[in-house]
This record gives sequence, structure tokens and C-alpha cells, in this order.
Amino acid sequence: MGAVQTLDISPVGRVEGDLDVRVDIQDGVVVNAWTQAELFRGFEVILRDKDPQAGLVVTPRACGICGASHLTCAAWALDTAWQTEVPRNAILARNLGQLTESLQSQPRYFYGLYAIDLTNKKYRGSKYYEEACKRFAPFTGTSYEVGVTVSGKPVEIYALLGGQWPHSSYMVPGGVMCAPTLTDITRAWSILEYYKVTWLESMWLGCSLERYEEITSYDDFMSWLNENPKHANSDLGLYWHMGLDVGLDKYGGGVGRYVSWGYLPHEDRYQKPTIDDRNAAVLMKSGIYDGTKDTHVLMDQKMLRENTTHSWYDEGGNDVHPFDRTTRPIQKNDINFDGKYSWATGVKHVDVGRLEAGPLARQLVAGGHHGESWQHYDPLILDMYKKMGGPSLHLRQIARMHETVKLYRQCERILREFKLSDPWYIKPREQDGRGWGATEAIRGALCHWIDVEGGKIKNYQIIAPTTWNVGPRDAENIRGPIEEALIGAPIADASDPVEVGHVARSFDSCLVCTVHAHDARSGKELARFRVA
Amino acid sequence: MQHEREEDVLRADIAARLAAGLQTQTAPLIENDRQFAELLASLRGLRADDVDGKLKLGGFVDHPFGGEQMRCQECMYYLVHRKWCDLPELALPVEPSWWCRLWRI
Amino acid sequence: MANLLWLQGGACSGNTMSFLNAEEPSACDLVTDFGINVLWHPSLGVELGDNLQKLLRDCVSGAISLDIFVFEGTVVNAPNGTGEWNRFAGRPMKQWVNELAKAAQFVVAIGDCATWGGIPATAPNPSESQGLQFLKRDHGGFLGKSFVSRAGLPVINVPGCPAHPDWITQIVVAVATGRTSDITLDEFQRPRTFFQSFTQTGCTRNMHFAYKVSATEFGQRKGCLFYDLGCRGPMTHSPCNRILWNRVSSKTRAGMPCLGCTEPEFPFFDLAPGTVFKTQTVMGVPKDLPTGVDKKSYIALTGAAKNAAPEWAERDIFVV
Repeated sequence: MGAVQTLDISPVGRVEGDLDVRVDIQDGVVVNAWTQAELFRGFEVILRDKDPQAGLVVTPRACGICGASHLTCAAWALDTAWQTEVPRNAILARNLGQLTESLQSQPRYFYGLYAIDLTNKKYRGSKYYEEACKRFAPFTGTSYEVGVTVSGKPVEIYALLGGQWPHSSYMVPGGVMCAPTLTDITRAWSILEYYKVTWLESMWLGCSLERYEEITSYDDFMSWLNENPKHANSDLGLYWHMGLDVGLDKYGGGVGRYVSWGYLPHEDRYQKPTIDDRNAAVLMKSGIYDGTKDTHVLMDQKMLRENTTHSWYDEGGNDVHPFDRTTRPIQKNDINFDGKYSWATGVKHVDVGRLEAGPLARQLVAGGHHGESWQHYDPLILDMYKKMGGPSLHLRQIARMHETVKLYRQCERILREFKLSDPWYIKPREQDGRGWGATEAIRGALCHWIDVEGGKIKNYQIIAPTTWNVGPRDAENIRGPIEEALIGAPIADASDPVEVGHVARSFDSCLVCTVHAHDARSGKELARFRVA
Repeated sequence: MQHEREEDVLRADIAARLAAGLQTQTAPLIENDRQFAELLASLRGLRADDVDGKLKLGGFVDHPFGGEQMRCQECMYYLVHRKWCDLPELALPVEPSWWCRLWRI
Repeated sequence: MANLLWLQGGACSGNTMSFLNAEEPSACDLVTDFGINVLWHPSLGVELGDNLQKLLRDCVSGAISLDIFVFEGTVVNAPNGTGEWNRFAGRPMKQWVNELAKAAQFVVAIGDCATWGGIPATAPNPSESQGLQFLKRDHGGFLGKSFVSRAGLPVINVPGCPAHPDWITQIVVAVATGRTSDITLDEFQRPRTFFQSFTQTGCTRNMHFAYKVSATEFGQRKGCLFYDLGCRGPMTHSPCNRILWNRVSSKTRAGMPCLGCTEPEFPFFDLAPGTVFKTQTVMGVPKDLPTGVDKKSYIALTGAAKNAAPEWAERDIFVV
């Protein structure tokens, strides 16, 4: 048995706050891991005693990447608290904003943040390496440049509705601020078409959306891959082949249990929104998939708990529901891996425990037969999960990018469904009450709780996808999803642990890493470098 | 056309009621946006066709009001050509020389 | 060839996301066409195989010449001035900022957080955030009133929540192409070329502003957002309606009131109850009048405007 080496990775990217990772490595494999969120801005503290609508302004600014998702949650949370009526058009317009933000993120994340790793010198031996460098190299890669540039297109549709992306607040209790005209709709169609022609079909899939949509099983996917050189040579085809070639399907699995709030409230089923009716009103169903038992159940916000035992808050060690949280940051945030070491909290389901959020979770939930018969069902990723022996960071990527075509189709549907002369807003009556709004940001389950009392915010709480995934250990010392996903990752070169970056990035929680490697026994620094 | 005639009839009817001394709540004056919002909320409690209720709660008078001679003519919500109060909570035909507590510029 | 380093403090990455929406030039064009050498950026700076801390130290020591230091996000001072609530590369970010700002030829603050503190500095400012050279309206901020970078300029403030990608790329191109002498700054150190005009300049609702037609509720097809919905377009300096957002629109065009996010007070009134999306009034008159207009003139203007208003101004204009 070899010595344990400890790597402190600081920072692992900067998207949802500063993330640092510590891993213990033994015999070339990660045997223990700790994830640390290193930035506290205190949005929940800022929102206390403010205007009930302050969340519409503040929370999109919690994350510049998922702003539409935060706005969606903030608006629905107030809708449920104020018991509003939301017109059909407004539901569609909110969904369209959410969807276009997600479409933006797909190429931007894949090329800008993730695929760059495939050009790492570690993979020089792969027969796909040269092609990967040609396509995925930062700034100059043929796909990188197209992908990063085309990523700005879908949010032009967002700007038609909300004036700008990021950071609009066009979703308000009772509807939306805008009243689009015919030219906005036709322009939106043209932008979608451009995205499809320039990237989605031509570069990513190498085939039509219709052909890709015929794939519903692992075997279908393999036939598609072998059917035409265009498929195999597409960026999806290249990624699939190279991912397997370099072994990305062999690690990065995680906790094996998954959560999705569901998303896209149906325009005819959620006009009088309540917390309890949401599960039966969303197109993309909510759920928990337990991979250890192969079971699906619906998710319920009442069952959520947060634990701050290992987080820099002075709120005791009990599991609490967010409505009962007080958000009291401790002053001295020293790092103690046996004690407190992160601003994130340990989030769990009261019965099922720690859960992974994100695109893989959404697709595994989509494969379940639970929920309403009219809700979205898609067995592909669950079938891959079973055929490929469970989760891996490779499957997490495939699940994420698989969603693109579905997101695109939903956008098309919404553009057909708008009834331009119908209302976009019904002015609500402001009142006290408790509300909850949820959605699926592209990187996973997001929700807001609001408690309005005396015409101002008494308590505002946010559980972001990264809170689920990056959370530290809980009171029972159970590791968080990314901590767990890091276990078993093979580290070929301890001075360049690109694998750690792969795992962390597969959750879309990070961008670029700097790594400090320490000898576990002497504490001596071995090397510093970037994972890039 | 029919629509406009109905508005004219209603405007004349309101004028008659005000001329006949309909008592409306001209006090207290609205001093800030918070009181304005409160009054709007009360108006929203009325039925859309409760004209009397709107007149009373709004504090309508059929003449300019106060030292500054405030009147509908200059008010934000007054549509000059339609002679109409466009504030959704009121939505009434009016005369330019009237005034109410929701007066805004 | 200019070396650019971009770091984030108490940030949401919104300015980075906005920057990545840029076209003519795009983020890639800046590198390939304008010779901007991105030393490091949280999401782009991957071409260096070197380690980040060494790179940062080399920038501080001058071993690498740092031409443009871009900072996004607030400088976090909590707890108790230590900055430990925002650690980066092994130490409080504020220590890096302090050293890098002194080494740089130009220091550019991107977005409200870096310019004046923005949302994180909203009362009670739990993270003890500051902007680089301002905290809200107060000159000084983290670097102090007298700070000038090596090229002799104070921090160039490019505010906005987020800043428009063009405001960012054009300033970077100006530096890269040697036009820095044309950059003139206003009292809040904003480039005048962008921030002399108002958000209202170019707004599609200007006719309704002029004829005093209000959008009384959201989702309407006519009317100006200033009178009821709290729009700050007439009092806010920005080119949002001259240089459109995402190439297609702006908040006020789409029907969303301007929040005044290029001004130091954003978010206005610290989001106190009753202040969000509602025009603040005193005795029926807006508390904040269009810049440079006094109450008497405003009342006179209203009377004249109502008298002159054409019939079409009362009907929907942004129709299906």
C-alpha cells in the first residue's frame, strides 16, 4: 500500500463562487476528497427586510450564468406566496427565457469549459488527440471558435423578451413585463434556425434533429454512430469515441442517487400556481432516481433538509428545512477538514439522503414511468446508464448534451403556442405568505423559498445545483456528490491531476484549476500547476 | 362608435351625480407612492362596474382642486382625446376640469 | 500585443458571460486579431501551461509586463477587514488585487461590483464589499482616492450589471490600438464616450415620455415606464438604447424599467419595501425628476405635453 498524497486544488474554477478541492491519493487513485466553496456574499442576508420583489433584482445576480433560472424561481416563489394568476402567454415566455439560457450554455460550457481538457498532453497517446486539439483548442480550435460565438445567439431571444441577457428581471409575479410582437417571434425563429444550422446539426450532431430523435436506446445510439461517417466525425461522435478511448467512462460516478425539481410548467396547467400543485403541472417531470434500487419517485420540497455541521455557519448541527434556516455566517472561516470547511451546505432528502443534481439527474428521472402520463419521458440515458454499468463523468457529459435537441424543440413549440393578442400580465394583489419556486438550471435543480411578512421579506433561501453537488459532508459525515464522485478517480500523474478537473468540471461547477500538490506526510509542496 | 357613445353617456351620468352633490373621499390627500399603492389596492377590491365606489374612494370632484388648481387635463392618466382616465383601477370617462386623489403627473 | 489579466472577486461571473456575447470583436477576435494576450481569465485563460500563482507573482514583480488588469466583482473585506471570505489561490483576493493594481499599466473595473460595490454592497453589506475606487458614491474604495495606475490613469470604471460586452471590448481595443489618450472619464471615472448620454437616449418609448402617456402596468403595448413603473432611464447615464443589448433590444424597449445600474447608487433605495418597480412620488410628482429638470418646469412641461398630445399617442403602438 503506497503513501497517501494530498492535493489541494485552489481554485477549481470560479463559476458558483470559488471552489477548492482537496484529494487524498493512494496508489494512484483518489481515496478521499473534500470540496470547498470559498466565497460568501450573503445574498440571503441582503434580502432580509427588503421589498418582496427584491429577489427579482438580486437573485439573477447570484449567478451570471444561471440568471434566467434564478429569475424563474424568484417569480414563481412570489406567485405562490401572493396567490397570483399567471396568464398562459407569460408561462410560455418565462419558459422560453429559461430554455434559451440553457441553449446558450450548451456550446459555451462544452467547448469553453469542458472539452479543453481533452487537449491536455496526458491524452497524447489517444488516436483522437490530434483531432481534439484541432477542434477544441482554446480560441483557435475550429469548433471552439464557432461554439463560443454561436453560444451568444440563443440569448438574443432572451433579450427580445427581457431586454438583455444576462441579468434581466422581466419575469414578475402575475406574468412578464413584455408583450412581444409578431416581429419578435419571427426574429426568434430565425435565431433558432441559425443556431441549428450553424452548430447543432452541422457541427454537433452531423445529422438532422429528426434523425437524432429516433435514438431511444444505447443500441440505437451505437447504430447511429456507425451508420454514417458524418455521425462518427461530428463533435458528439468524436467526444464519444475519445471519452471511451481515454477512459472517462471508468470514474466520476458519484452518489448514485439523483434529483430533479422538474421544469417548464405547462401553460394550461399552472395558471393558478401553488407549491403543492407544481409536480403535476410541469412538462419535464420532477423526481428522484435511486440508482442503487432502480426506483423513481416524485420530489417534494417539504422533504429537503440542509445541514451546516461542516459549513461556515453558526446554526447548530441539525438537519433543517430552508424555511427554518437563519443564515448566520461565522466570522472566522478557518479551514478544518474535520470540522467546517465550506460555505456550501450539506443538502439532502430526508429519506433518500445526498443526491446529485444536474443534467444526468434530469435524464435519469426522464427515464422513469412515474408522474403524469402526458409528461416528458425519454429512456435513452437511463438505458445507457444500465448498459454502461452505471454513472461516469462520460455519461454525465453525454446526458448534458443529449438535452440540447429537446430544449430546442421546446423553444419551437413555445413560438408556435404564443397567442400574441392574449394577456401577458395580470396585476396581482400583494400580500403576506410563503412561497416556493423551482426550476432546472442547465446545471441542475434550483429553487427559492420566500417568506413575506408585513410587506417585506422575512426569510429568503436559495438551494442552487452547486449547493447540492459541491456540498461538504453532513452531520453523519456523508460526503457530498462531487466529493463522492472523486473517489476512485485514477491520477496518472500526481503533478498534473487532470482527472480531478474532469470530475469537478463534469458537474459544470468550475472553469480552470490551479493545483498545489502536497506530500501527505511531510506537508511539503510537490508541485503547483494548472489543470488545463 | 357604440363604445364611444356609451362612454359619453356614462360621463354625463357621472357629471350629473357629482353636480348633485355626491360625497366623495377627497381626504386625506395622497402624499407618497406608498399611500398611492394602498389606495390602488382598495380600488382593486371593487368590482370593475362599481362606478359609484370608484368615484367615492377616488375622491372625485367636478372642478380643479387646491391652490395649484390640479385637474385631469394635466394628469398622467388622462387621455386627452378620449376624455378618459387610463389608470386601470379607475378606467372611467372624465372631464378635463375634474380631479381625484389619484392625480399624478 | 497587450497582456491582459482578468480576475474575479465577489462576483457572479455575469460580466464574463456578457463579455462572451461580444461580436465585432468577439472574445476570440480580441486574441487572434488584436493581439490581446490573455494571461489568465477564469474561463478563458487556458493557453498558459504555467502555474497561476507564479504567473500572478511574476505580474506583481514585473517579470511579466501587465498591461491591462481587469477586475470583476467586489473587493471582499469580510470578516473584519481580513478578506478571508473570498480566498483565491491560497490567500485573500484583496491582497492579490492590491499588488496587481500597482503593477498594471491600466486597471479596468468591470461591472457594478468592481466599480462601486453593486448588489453585494447593498445594506447591510455582509461581505464588507467595496469597489476598486468607489463605494457607492464615495470616492476612495479599496485602492484609495489617490490611486493611479502606471499609465497615470485612475481605475477606468465600466459599470453596469452587467457591463455591455461592447463597452468592455471597445475599451480593451482602445488600449490595444494605442488610443488611450482619447479615453476621457467623467466624475465617476466612466468613459464619457459611453456614459455621457442617457439610457433614455434612443428609447423607443420616448414619444410616450414626451406626450406623458404612462405604461401603468406591465405587459402593455404603449406607454413610458418612467411615470409608474419606476424606470430610471431619464436619470441614468448609459448607451443601452444606442448600443443595443445582445444586438437586438434593451430593457426599456422590451418593457422592463431601467434600474439605473450604471449609477453608483444601484440598487436604488437599497431595495427597501415599496421601492421595486414603482415610481417614488411626493404629492403626485415623481421624487426623482429627469436629470436637470426642476419641479416647476416639469409641471409646466406636463401641461404643455398633454395639450399637444396627438390622438394616436393614446392608442397601442407596439402592436402584434
